[in-house]
Amino acid sequence: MGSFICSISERDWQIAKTKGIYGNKAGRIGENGKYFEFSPSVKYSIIRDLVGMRNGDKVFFHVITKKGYSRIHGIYIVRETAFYDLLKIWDDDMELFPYRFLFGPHPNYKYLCKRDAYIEVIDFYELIEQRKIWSLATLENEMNIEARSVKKIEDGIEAKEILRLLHRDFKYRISDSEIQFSPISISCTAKPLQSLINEIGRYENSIKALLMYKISQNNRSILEILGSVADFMNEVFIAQTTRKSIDILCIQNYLNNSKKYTICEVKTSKCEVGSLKQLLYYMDLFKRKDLVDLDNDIITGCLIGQKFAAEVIDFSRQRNAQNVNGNIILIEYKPIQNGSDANFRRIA
Amino acid sequence: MTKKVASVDPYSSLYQDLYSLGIFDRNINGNLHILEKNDEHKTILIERRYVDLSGNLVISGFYFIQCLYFICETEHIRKFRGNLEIVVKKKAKGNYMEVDPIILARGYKEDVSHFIANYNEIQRRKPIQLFIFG
Repeated sequence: MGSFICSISERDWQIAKTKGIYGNKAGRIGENGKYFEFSPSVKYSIIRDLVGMRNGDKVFFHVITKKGYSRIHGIYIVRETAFYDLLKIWDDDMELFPYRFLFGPHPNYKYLCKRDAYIEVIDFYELIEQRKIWSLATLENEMNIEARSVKKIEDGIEAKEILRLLHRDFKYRISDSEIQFSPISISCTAKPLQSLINEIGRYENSIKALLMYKISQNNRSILEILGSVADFMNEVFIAQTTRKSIDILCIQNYLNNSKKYTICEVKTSKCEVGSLKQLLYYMDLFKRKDLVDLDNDIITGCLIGQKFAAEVIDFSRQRNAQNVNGNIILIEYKPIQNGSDANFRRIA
Repeated sequence: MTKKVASVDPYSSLYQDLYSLGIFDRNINGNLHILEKNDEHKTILIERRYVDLSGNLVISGFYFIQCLYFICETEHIRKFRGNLEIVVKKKAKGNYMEVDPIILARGYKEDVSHFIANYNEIQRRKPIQLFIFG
């Protein structure tokens, strides 16, 4: 299973929490007051962030308040995976929030959801400072970080830490009244989100979205290369200060309770030597994280692209032949079905 | 890429005097200290220390050296990299920038020289320095 944190305004949370529906916006209001739809790249980034969701995944909500500290609410589970629907749900004149999923209270923690339990976002940031949350740098929108409303976090320690804080503060950080849930069902106009993935080979976020979907579905062509994946997430911070992030991180169970971390870097077209340098550097940086057991865990690198420079293939094969902790996997992809899908082939 | 050192027995030379081969700089305000050596595999692990502003000796990194009394082939590089990985884990918590790897050999096969040149170019780590002796 996976875990997510989704940002939402305080106004929209009132409807979302009773109906059990979350929606990501599809555009923004410009300086002239007109509404603009997001560019294809941003649209695919929204799909990328949501399409890896599975029924039963855990969800926390980052509720952005106008006054005081923002809050993290939870814990909920996904009851209908991501879809696209234009049916009006929220009271907004311009935005329909069409990238959606349905959720409900986590069956083991209904009491938290019934009282709308929360922690303040500064407590969450303390977890980041303490490195108990390591997959994110912040929940705020920052200059050097892509604005994202849906973020996948690590399902083990990170989700457990947030849940612990929700229990720690339960007596004090709850709503005055109980929530009356009236969950809505998926409408007949809804389209599965994966059906909106197109233009593979043109946009980096499009191929990333496809990969997130295929990993979530335990797709054979991917798992035959990477092996069985226990948890996976995208845009994972590798170096908090420089705001560098891994495109996709797969966590796999390895021998005797150890882990295998596969760091994936995805390129739209050709992987040059610079891509390999970056990947190898990320692998070395990741080894230094507190969560990595240097003696037992394995760090593997994976480059995904349509083509590879000869030097990249040459060095990767030579390095792999030496088999010193952590191979380099090169995966070539070819767009098919008018760019709505791709074939994958391991070349090193 | 490779430099020549004037010695027929670099392992003994280094053990007797770390500065004897001209690999290390004598002008550093500090010293070198042998932490471990292995006579069978001819490896030496050296701690590099400098004198800080308070006059204390502080570790600034390590040298991991192996002397190969034959032509270095891919298999030797594989073993050397495996041992380097162990040193980096044990002494530097996985940070390759803390350890300078050095190999002294009678020569290097072409594929080894090619791989090391690429390794030094592509990996953001301390480069593997190659020396020839004999």
